[in-house]
Amino acid sequence: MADTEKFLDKAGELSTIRTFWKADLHERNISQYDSYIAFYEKEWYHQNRQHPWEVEFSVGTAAATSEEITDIAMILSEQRDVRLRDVRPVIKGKFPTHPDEAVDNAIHFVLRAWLTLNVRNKSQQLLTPHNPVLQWNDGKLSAGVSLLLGL
Amino acid sequence: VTQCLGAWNQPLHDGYTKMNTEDVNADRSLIDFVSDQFPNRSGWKIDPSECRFGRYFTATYLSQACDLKIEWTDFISDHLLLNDDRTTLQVYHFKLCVFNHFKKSGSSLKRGAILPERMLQETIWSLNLLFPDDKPTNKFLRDRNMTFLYDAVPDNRRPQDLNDYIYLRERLFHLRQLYEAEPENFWQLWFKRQGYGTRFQILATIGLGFLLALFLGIISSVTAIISTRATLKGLVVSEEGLRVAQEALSLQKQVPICPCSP
Repeated sequence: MADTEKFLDKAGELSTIRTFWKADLHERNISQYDSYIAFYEKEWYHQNRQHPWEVEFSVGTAAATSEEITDIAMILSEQRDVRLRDVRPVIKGKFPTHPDEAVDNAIHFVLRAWLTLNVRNKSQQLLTPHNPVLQWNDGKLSAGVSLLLGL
Repeated sequence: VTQCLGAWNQPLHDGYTKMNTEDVNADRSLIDFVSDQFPNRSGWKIDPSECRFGRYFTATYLSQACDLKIEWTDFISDHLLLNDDRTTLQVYHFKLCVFNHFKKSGSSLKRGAILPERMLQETIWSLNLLFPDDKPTNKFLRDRNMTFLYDAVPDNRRPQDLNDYIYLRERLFHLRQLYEAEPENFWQLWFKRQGYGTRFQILATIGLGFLLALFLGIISSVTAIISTRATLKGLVVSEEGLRVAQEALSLQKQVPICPCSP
């Protein structure tokens, strides 16, 4: 993280914590959440980093600001009982120019940051068995790959 | 001893490795997707004799006596996962976030928390259980540059019975097995409370051996002293005898033999 710019400024940190964790958080107590902010920044960095060999494959994430991230969290929160397949178009409507994968990446990032669930798409899945994969497509390829890996 | 009842029909350790891939898809709601990540273990019936944790069931003790490495995880679904060879335990460390998440005033997102409230509570309880606010734990956390902000999280309950945990029952059960296991090496033998009997036997044997050696050494020293004294006495006596003999000899030489004596 040392060689990366911070994604959140002080106001962004406070707003993020208030949105995700504690609505009435006073500014002077923000330091209690330092380790969480470090995690958030780290996840943001990993979500958006592009190694030279990844550039042509990676589409990054649709959400570019902390406000957009909290907007996605709001939609997910309000439509918690709705099928995710039906929630995605609502979120996509906010990012009409972005490809589906970038929108999915934004949703996955929100689920990681907000619920601290290690949700990733197939291409970003770590080689550990505990990462939930949110399957947006019914593609047989991903199911086959999972079967092959014994996941 | 453990009876697996209810819908749970997979081997113990597979429960978490398979919890989250193929059956998760976009046809589920967010609530369903999240609840899929936290299998309910209330169907598990555990023998009452295997339910209590004991007073030493802390991360500090487990780390010291069981050679268990504590790793901090950022993801709540990995909380209390042991790795395959049971040498590393993952511990979720955003305790304050969890505490605030299920409070009604916690998040400004509508309709409160999405993570199961009971799961969040159990996460806090398990952290209280493993990291009590005491001196050894505070040192343990300080050494690892970690704090759990005990003052900021007023919920200090730490249920001591496995049956009080529904979501974390399986993971705590495995951890308890590790806690109760017999020592496997000298280090564990020295620190683990289960090694008390063996440790006592070893120390008693060493102590008795030392006392026996001391006793035999003393006897040996005493007999050596007696023997030396006897030898010295004998020497003195023989010196005396020699001296008397020499005196008699010299006396015999001084007295001339009279030819006229009868």
